[in-house]
Amino acid sequence: MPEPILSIRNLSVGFRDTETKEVINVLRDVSIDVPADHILGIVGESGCGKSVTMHTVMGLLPRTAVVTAGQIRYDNRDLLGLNPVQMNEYRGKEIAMIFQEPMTSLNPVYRVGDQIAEMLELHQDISHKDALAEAVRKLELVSIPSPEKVAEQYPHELSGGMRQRVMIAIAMACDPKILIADEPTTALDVTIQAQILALMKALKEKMHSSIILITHDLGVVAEMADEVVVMYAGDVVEKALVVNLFREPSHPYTTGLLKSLPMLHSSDERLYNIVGTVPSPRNFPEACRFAPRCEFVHDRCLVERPRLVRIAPDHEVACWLRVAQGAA
Amino acid sequence: MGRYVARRVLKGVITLLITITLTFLIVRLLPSDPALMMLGEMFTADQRDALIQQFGLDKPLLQQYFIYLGNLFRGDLGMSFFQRRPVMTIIQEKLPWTLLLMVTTQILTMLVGIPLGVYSGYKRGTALDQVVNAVAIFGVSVFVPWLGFTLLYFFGFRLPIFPVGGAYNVATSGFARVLDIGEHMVLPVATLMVIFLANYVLYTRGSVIDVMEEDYIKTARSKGMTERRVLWKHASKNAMIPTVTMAGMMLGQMVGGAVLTETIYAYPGVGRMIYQAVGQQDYPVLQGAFIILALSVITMNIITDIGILYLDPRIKLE
Ligand SMILES: Nc1ncnc2c1ncn2[C@@H]1O[C@H](COP(=O)(O)OP(=O)(O)OP(=O)(O)O)[C@@H](O)[C@H]1O
Ligand SMILES: [Mg+2]
Repeated sequence: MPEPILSIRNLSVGFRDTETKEVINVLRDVSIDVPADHILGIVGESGCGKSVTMHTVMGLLPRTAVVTAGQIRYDNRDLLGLNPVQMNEYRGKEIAMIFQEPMTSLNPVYRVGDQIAEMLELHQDISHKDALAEAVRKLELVSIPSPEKVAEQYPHELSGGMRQRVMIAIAMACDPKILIADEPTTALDVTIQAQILALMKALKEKMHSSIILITHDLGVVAEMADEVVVMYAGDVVEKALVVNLFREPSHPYTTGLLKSLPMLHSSDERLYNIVGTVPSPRNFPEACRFAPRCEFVHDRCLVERPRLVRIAPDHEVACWLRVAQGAA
Repeated sequence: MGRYVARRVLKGVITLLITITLTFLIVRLLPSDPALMMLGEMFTADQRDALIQQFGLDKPLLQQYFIYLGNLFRGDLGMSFFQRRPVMTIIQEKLPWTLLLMVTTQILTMLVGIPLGVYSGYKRGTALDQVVNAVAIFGVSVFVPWLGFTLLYFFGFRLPIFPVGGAYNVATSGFARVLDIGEHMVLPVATLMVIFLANYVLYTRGSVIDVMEEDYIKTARSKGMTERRVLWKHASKNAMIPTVTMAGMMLGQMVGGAVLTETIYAYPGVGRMIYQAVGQQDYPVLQGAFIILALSVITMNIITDIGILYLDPRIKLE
């Protein structure tokens, strides 16, 4: 795999309980590499720490969050060690983010054009007038019809799909190297979803940026991503090129996720479901966090924590079932 | 925009008309002699007959109503029992003082209260926030006459830096007069500010706390701007919408505040006039004051509605 431009190293993040002041750990040794010009999918059920990981990268964690260990390497610097002023040289400019809820992610009291122009004004030496003109071109770039008109409109005058396009226009305004998209299509209609994903992919191809795409939908990953990271309860449990993951899913959690994909079971009436749900961080098990839901659980899983091991080139998994293979 | 304002003004005119009609009916439908109510007992028989003529008090109710409307339209609010002068003249003397006091208070309160609310909401839970909160809650719960007299006692008598009453000193003129008017306003404005500041601070604080949780604040931060800009550009404009709405609804309280403070500081405004007219049972003055107050409240409501229109583009214009 090529040299990564963003490298998350052994990141552990917890949240301080406002009453007991105790830190409840969520992320545990999360390591993720993002090469240039690459689409990385992150999958996992709700509550697995996908957003927390990306919020850490963007410096968007709430005040109650505590980063207990790790590094986020970008541009030969550790983003976690930067002060807010230094961080703002990267945020938006080099690494940009779009969110799940296009309906509420734009500021309702400012015009669309101004919200795009603001991004340019923050990171470039540009007058407000020129930034506004540039904003119209950014709207064109995300295929918004009559961009001059839309630039003058307020968010509430646009549909969800249009608003997400505007969000993409804002995020891509300064040609960032990495776009983090946190479930960018979950809130949208199926047809609109496909359009937004196609737009993101086209922009990525044009600008040679990378995308980190968080999703619940393995179908989306299959279509979009080069590589997948599977997260469960704050752990990275499997990492692989998309082809490898679908051909040879190796963590029981990944297998479960794949089995519950509707398209693989078109003949079955009932969908497969992994038994149980992701526990809340307070109840994360000490050793293998997936153990309570795993059909192959054995003694070792309950006492010793499995680490990621390489089972094939570009394929890593954290499961005791695969250790023999990895060590070999 | 123009149509929205026109519609608000039309609504205001209708509200005013209803108020005027109610005022008319209240006086007429009371079980005492309306002539006596409206004219008082201090007129000579001749004057009385002339006034009955003027107001048509011997005519049927509907006809009286149109005479009354006609009089109002010409700015004739009747004669004060006590002062034997046209109510309109009295109000014209008093209203500018009250407006001066109220507009100054509102502007200062907004200028101080909104930033204070924004900042303490942002710094929720810190020592600064707790101090601001405590002061604001004191303001909400303070007994206004007590506050007024306390200020008067300390800053008017014990440490006489401010005048104890009135609106200006007749011996001054020109720029000295302007300064003098300002000095006379300090204590009444301070008293009124304590009452209203709390509302502005607590409302704004509450909405900033809500707004900071919104997704668009996360978007703003992800753009790479300072927290200062997130707070003052992206959060505060949104947070001000409920505050301005509240300010529009607080106008009734302003009338109460005017009566109390103007009375305490012998300030020659409409509030003190109302207080005196109640004591003197000067119905025409009260009726006039009622109509003028309704008119000011309606006007202020239109102004706040336009303010909100400017703040919140989601308001439907149609
Ligand atoms: N502000 C917070 N305070 C306390 N706990 C939090 C906070 N934010 C997230 N968590 C916890 O961290 C865990 C991971 O949350 P996260 O939002 O990263 O999940 P996710 O994988 O993005 O899920 P989803 O698919 O629902 O977005 C959750 O169990 C959640 O309870
Ligand atoms: Mg999430």
